Amino acid sequence: MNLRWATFAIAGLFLGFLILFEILPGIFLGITALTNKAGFTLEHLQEATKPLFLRALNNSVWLSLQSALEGALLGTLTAGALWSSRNARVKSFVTALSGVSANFAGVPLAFAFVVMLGASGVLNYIFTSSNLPTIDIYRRENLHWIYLYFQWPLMTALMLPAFGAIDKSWLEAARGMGASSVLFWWRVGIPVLLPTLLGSSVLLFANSFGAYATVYALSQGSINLLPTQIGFQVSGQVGYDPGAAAALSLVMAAVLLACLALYRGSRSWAERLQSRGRA
Amino acid sequence: MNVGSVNIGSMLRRGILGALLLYLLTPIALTLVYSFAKNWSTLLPDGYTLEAWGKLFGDPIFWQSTGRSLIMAASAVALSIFFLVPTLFAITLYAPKLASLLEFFSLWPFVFPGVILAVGLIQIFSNPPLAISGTPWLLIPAVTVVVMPFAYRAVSNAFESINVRELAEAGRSLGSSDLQILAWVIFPSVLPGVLSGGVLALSAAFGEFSLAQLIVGSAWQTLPYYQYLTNSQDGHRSAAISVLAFGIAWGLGTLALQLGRGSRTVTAV
Amino acid sequence: MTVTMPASATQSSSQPVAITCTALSKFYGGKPAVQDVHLEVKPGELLSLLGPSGCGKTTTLRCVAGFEIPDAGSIHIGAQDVTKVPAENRKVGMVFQNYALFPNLSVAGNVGFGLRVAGWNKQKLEARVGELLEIVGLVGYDKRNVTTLSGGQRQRVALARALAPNPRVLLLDEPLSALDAKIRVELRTELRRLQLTLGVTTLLVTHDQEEAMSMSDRVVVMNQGRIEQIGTPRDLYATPATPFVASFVGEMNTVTLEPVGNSSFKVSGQTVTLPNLEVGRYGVRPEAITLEPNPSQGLRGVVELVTYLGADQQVILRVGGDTWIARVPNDLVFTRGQTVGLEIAAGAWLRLS
Ligand SMILES: Nc1ncnc2c1ncn2[C@@H]1O[C@H](COP(=O)(O)OP(=O)(O)O)[C@@H](O)[C@H]1O
Ligand SMILES: [Mg+2]
Repeated sequence: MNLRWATFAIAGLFLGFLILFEILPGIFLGITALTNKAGFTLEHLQEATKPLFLRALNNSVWLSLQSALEGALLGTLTAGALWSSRNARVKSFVTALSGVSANFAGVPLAFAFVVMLGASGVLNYIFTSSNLPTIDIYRRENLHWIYLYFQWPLMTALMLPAFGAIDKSWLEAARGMGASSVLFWWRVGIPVLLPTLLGSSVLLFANSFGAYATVYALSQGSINLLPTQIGFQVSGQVGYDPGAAAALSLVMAAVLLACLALYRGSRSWAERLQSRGRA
Repeated sequence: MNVGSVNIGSMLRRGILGALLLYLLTPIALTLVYSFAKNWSTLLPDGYTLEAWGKLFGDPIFWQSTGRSLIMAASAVALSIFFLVPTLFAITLYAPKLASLLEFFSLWPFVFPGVILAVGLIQIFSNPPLAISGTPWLLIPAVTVVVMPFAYRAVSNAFESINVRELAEAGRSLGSSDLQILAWVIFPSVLPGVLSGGVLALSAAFGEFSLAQLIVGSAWQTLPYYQYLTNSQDGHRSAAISVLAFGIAWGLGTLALQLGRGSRTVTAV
Repeated sequence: MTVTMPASATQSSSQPVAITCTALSKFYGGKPAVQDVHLEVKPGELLSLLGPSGCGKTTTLRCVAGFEIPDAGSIHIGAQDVTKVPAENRKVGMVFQNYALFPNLSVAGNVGFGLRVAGWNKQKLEARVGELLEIVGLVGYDKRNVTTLSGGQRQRVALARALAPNPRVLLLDEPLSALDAKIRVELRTELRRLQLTLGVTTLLVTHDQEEAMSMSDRVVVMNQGRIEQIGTPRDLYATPATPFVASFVGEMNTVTLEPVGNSSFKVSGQTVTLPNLEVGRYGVRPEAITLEPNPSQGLRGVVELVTYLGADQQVILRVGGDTWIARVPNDLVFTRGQTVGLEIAAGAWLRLS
């Protein structure tokens, strides 16, 4: 059994790699956040509650909530539209584009929005000349417009399989029994979609909560969010404070862990629902 | 009345799909125009020029950064595939109970994304014995960790699409060793899925910015970091890079779709 | 559908050998899946393992194939004790329930896999593959991708692949259960004819009693990991050893004879005279019942449902509180609600216990 030995050896290497570069950094964060030279301390966590950081947390939560809600609403409607569309080419094009855009974030995306909505952005020019309010993309309140660029297609991609589980003949059957399509969606469609809808929304929230590249590229960190504060405290442009960075990281990890738990819960709920549907 | 409701439905459908396309394509289209524009402060640019593209392609630093991005992304993806394929093979065939451990490792990066992973890594690897912070030797493993969940999903989907155990048994009943089965059947069968997932992971790794900025910064400049520095100097050149990045993402996405024909979108969790 | 036999295929390369399982037991987490199984598949014979799902058929077969190591007992192929021999060295051909075809290989690649492993040269290998494709009726399919084949075609490829390296014995795990009813019946005959021609010792697992009865030289009926009875299809049908076999093999009306008096018994709430029988459980085959439109004595029932079956008809009757099934010729017409007599010859009462 040479092969068994060889594959287990590689698996062992992998384990070592993961412990060193994946698990250990997480553990180190915990240690750094909870100790100083003297030993155990809560001072870093206390520092994490200073107004600047609390505002960052608050801003991050609201931004993520807003962008998750917008993405979830629009993405679900889009997935529904794709589901009911009979045009295979439109379907496959939109699906492919969604897949690409959902992962298109960071510096290139930030700059594309600067071209449109920066100080001399062409859309802002159009808005001004039509007497419409302009959008200053460098402001925190407007950041959700950029995040929507990847959240909307991400939600679309996440919801498509859930819609796929709704057989179109159910709708016909419901119509045959005299139910309106509104009634059908209310009584059958939404209950079937609900677990995936909630789980995917949580995923969107997490996706925005941990996002760093886009906002950093846009503002070099002048927008006060949790990820940018963490970046600040380690890259040392303003204040260098690894203890605070670690404490803030723990806060972020705790929020993301809660998201993960919610997401997994929604998944098993969806699976239960599906297996009941089959039985 | 029935006809009316059908029409409203199809209008809504067209409306929402059109809105999505508009939202996704407008930034790219305008950025493309901007990269060719001379000066653009009114509705239309004053004129068009290839200057930005010329400068971009004439800049050795651009090529160097692109090369480094490629090296970083390709190494990270190659490393995760090198680890994942034999590991999944061993787990599926010899130790199915360890599957949940692997899943645990694939979920961890969800809780510790790029920014905070970097915080932890910098603390560990800034001091001896392994003072590799600031070098690609830390960046590549870090990017590997970040793209690992994608690669894991893709590879494990590929393994689930065939019944490895039963195929191995079929092979053994025909007198073959596990190595022959791996080389002649299992590996060729999972290859399309692995490649397809690998290309998606490559796309994600290629655009990775958080880790690059926090771990190496300008010491080992990759393409996103090059663009970040270009932003403040030359907007038109930066626009060209945005378009290029979208083109690359689109190309890799299409390639992945071709390779894994019929396979689903890969999400990390 | 015809099966053509190339001359070379019929000259089996080696003498058929027996498979012997002695006191075979296998436990999963302390729970027995197979318990104390003794059986012998004679050289050249087709023996079926028949039983309900979960009774241990597959486990037994997997022990013979070498995919499971039995917890007790031994397995011999011919004179060789293979109990501890790894699967890849057993030289057994196996057809899996879902065929387990190699998805990346063509039909020819699948069929030739065992030969490639054994290091055959290209020419000999191609000749042998061609021969097998001819045997299973897939000439011209060599380059086809196996994922594009129909269920029946996949089944044939799986069979050809198992037979190609000239295995000592052939193992089939529910080989037909994934197929449509019509193809299943066709392939049944074809498979049996092929097995007889090649003379290869074959162990077949199935939960379909019709399949077992129609294809096998002998049948082993299993229940909850144990053997209930081994015998020819005829034996099992005519003289089931246990109530389980009686009800599992073919249709059977089962009743209890309760004592009333001398040679008189209470059956389904009616008193009848049955000389030479004792108190206890009995079974009566549906076709052993004759229906008498003008009953004078004996059991009486009311017709509930008549199903026309072409060659004959099935009549479901209510007799007292019980339901009886009779299978009778088509020449008499029965109507729902009609009262009829059930005539059963003395020898048709099968003692079950
Ligand atoms: N790998 C296994 N692990 C645990 N239990 C098993 C395993 N394989 C089979 N069993 C159990 O052993 C019993 C017999 O299974 P099997 O031989 O597959 O039955 P059959 O083929 O007759 O349907 C069943 O109760 C089944 O649940
Ligand atoms: Mg079975």
